[in-house]
Amino acid sequence: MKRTLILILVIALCVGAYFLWRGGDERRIRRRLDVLSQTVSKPRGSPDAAMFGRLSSLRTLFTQDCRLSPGNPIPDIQSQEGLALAYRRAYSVVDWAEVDLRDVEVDVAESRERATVRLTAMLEYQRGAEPQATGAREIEIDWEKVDDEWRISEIAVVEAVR
Amino acid sequence: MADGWRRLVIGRNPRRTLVRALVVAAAAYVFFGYVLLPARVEGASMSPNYKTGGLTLVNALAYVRSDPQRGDVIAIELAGRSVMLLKRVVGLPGETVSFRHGQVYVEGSPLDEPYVLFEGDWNLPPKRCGEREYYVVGDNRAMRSSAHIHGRVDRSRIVGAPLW
Repeated sequence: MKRTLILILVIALCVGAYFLWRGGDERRIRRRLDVLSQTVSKPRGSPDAAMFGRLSSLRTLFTQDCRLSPGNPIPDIQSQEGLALAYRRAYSVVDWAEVDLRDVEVDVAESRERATVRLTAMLEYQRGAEPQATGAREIEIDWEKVDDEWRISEIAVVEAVR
Repeated sequence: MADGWRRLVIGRNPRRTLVRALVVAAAAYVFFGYVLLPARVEGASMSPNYKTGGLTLVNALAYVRSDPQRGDVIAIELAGRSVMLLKRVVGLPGETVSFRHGQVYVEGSPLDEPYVLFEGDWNLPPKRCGEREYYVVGDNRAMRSSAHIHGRVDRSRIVGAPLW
């Protein structure tokens, strides 16, 4: 029994060490990703006025000169203003939307000033009388540290099937 | 806990029971994480053959010793394996695939697709697959082609094939 307890203790220590090893930057980026998925989702029955709060939260996540490449046929979006415009448009079009980020892989550069995240974004939404739609895309997100805060500088869709 | 229950749950030798439980957990983790991957179908692109909400198991060993064949349904990984795309192979490496009025053409010849029950009117220019690329498309062609993921996929992204 003693040996079993020691084994469990060693496993627990290894798990703890792993979480510590993952580092503060990765944890911070993952937290920012949680905020991102919450911000771009639109809960059912959410009033249009709620958009403004989400919009200001969205601005804090992106750099001023951010760039989004959603992929063909949607044109690229440049700058925070362009992003805000696209967000307002999308927000008013859908009744509700849920964004879930999965298989997140964070790669922080040695300088600790830049990072790249690769993930799969699952999107579910309802638009008017149309049937509920579901989609999944692989996405690459580039991050920059601005004033000690991680911000998204670029989002690009990776075309797994092209 | 009553003695009977304790005996049933823990067994005569707690240490052996713990080891057995760990072995079973590890085996299940490997089996369902790397061999047979449980998957829930979302979306309409493979309708009516795979309906939203349906469950399947993806056999990750399906293409270890062989390559995907035309007509196979395959699972394609994105950033990981928690979300995969289910698609039908219509074009093999080196082949050119196009759509005219909803009909698939491979190397200029029409492809017989008995599995397509929802037909459409897609017109798409020819695309040539590379040496390690397969042309994949969903069975539901009644969707708008712009709302339907289809095209060439690299062999390295093919995880396996659903069991049913």
